[in-house]
Amino acid sequence: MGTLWKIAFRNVLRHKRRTAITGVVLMFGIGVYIMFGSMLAGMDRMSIDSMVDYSTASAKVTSPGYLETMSGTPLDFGLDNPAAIEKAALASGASGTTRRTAFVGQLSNYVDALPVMAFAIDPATDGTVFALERAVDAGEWFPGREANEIVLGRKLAAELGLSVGDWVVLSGRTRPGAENADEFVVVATVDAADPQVSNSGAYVSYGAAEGFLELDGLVTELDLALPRAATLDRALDEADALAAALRAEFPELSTRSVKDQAADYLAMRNMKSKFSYVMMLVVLLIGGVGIVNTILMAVYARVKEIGVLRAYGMLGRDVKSLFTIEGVIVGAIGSLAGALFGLALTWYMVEYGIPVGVFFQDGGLDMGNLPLTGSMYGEWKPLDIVVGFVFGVVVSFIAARIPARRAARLEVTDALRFV
Amino acid sequence: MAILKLSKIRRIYRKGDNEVVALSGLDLEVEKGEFTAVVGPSGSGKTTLLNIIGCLDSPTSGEVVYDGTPLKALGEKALAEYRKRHVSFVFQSYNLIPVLTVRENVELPLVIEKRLKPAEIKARALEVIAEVGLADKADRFPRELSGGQEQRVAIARALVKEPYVVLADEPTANLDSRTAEEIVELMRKVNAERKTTFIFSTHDKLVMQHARRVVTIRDGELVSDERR
Repeated sequence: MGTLWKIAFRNVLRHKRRTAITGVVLMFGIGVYIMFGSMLAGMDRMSIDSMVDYSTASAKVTSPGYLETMSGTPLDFGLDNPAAIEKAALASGASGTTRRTAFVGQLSNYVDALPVMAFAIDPATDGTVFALERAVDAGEWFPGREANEIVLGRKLAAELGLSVGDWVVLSGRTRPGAENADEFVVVATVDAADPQVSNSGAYVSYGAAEGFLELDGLVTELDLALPRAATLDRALDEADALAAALRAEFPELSTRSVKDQAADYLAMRNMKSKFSYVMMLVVLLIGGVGIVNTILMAVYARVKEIGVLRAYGMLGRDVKSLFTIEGVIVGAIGSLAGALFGLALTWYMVEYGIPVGVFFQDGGLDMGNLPLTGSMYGEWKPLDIVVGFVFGVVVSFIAARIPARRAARLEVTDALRFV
Repeated sequence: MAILKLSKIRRIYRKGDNEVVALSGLDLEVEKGEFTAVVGPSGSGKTTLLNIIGCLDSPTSGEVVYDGTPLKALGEKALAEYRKRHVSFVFQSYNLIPVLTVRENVELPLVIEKRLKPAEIKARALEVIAEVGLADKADRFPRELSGGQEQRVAIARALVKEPYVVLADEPTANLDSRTAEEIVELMRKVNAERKTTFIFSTHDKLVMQHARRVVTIRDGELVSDERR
């Protein structure tokens, strides 16, 4: 077997150009697959981060009744003792907690009105969980804290022609069920990565909402943050663990991690990963054809050599092994180069990213939860690098068997006569 | 005692609807240690005869007996094993493995045979390389050798496993006359010293002169058998 490896390895090195061409095809294929995987993972991370930063938090605690009718944002189901939940969450590893009460409202600039997704929030703690405060692009984050101040999504404000300092009328249904309206001054606008926040988000302090909605201390959701995890999978798992801990402590409440809340998106993510496998199959098919071609050329160039080996008693299966090994060596070189190329591309994606704002800013393209501004970064996916390499070698092995079998079947006398 | 006995050997090839008779009822006996030239015009059946003697090809009819063993009785695997152990080949265009050094090329039959340990294989190969006068070229690659040197390596490769018979198909056809003579002299020397049986086909009158026996075939039939 050692001699077979020696002959195979030296032949691969002897035909450098042939090896290089096949290797480069595999290198590009596997490298792009790895980068694509990193990019998809990066998109997922950004999307989930965006959800966590602006709507789902790492985990959300509500009453079961609220959960059932959540789409109507009712003010009928509150949390009885949010302070106890907050204490338990912090003890279970949460890095921050904040209270929110969502309600559907109507925002008017005294001329036109638009429906808005409104929240009563705690301006002092909201920033420990959500990124809204950091996304302020004009004005100041609730300077009066408890006064009739409102923060609006940037596009919503633009739609109604509003600027910081303008007055608006916010109307909504109070907790007892009556329609109410009040005047608020726009203190800030937020340019959030989450398009829902930017297009229809309106935020008032609990202090202001208390009188306006007659909340009487009602908190419909408690949002929990976790320290940023290195990878998306870890972030999801940690959120699940936090939610599970709270579920155990407060079984009467509904505690949902970001993984539960983003179930639909994550199902789509699995579909995307299947697509990336399809892409890899196509790439490897091309690489496989390259390997078949390379080894077939090697077989035809060395028919006499095969004849000599067989004449001296080498078995057909050893001849098959010889050319299979050659294919595997070419494949392994290409796959290794592909893994390194993919590693380099992923490194670039992780370190520098690619700017997405340039492409989608005004394109009107619906990107779901994917942030429309800034750069899109890749994620490290070590498993993809290993999978890319292993698949490359396995495909090379399978592809090389085809011409190798042909070599093994050559008649000795025909092979020796071959010119 | 005959080491090789061929009786009524016929070999017919089919090409489409046509039949080509390469050998038609040929009888031949070869004694151990003979140095035999098989001569005849192109297409007379020389290579077919050597292939059948070398167990690379099977006769359509007739019997080949090697050292008392009828080859017909052997299965395909046993036949390959027999060839691996007892028959060696020297080719017109040397057919060395270009990516192996002289020593590695010579070691190859023993490596394939898997009978000896690596150290023994190496020692045996170096011994035979020295015998063919290429001790200083053991680590060279075939591309670094002349045609004559390459053929010497091919002879060393054929001898290394100490076969019953070495079959050489036009071993000097690609060499100039001086080198051809050197190669035949080398074969003759090995034949005399080791008592290895040589059967070689040739067109070369000069080479024929060295043969102790000249078998002439034409149209697949033995037309003369001259012993000297």
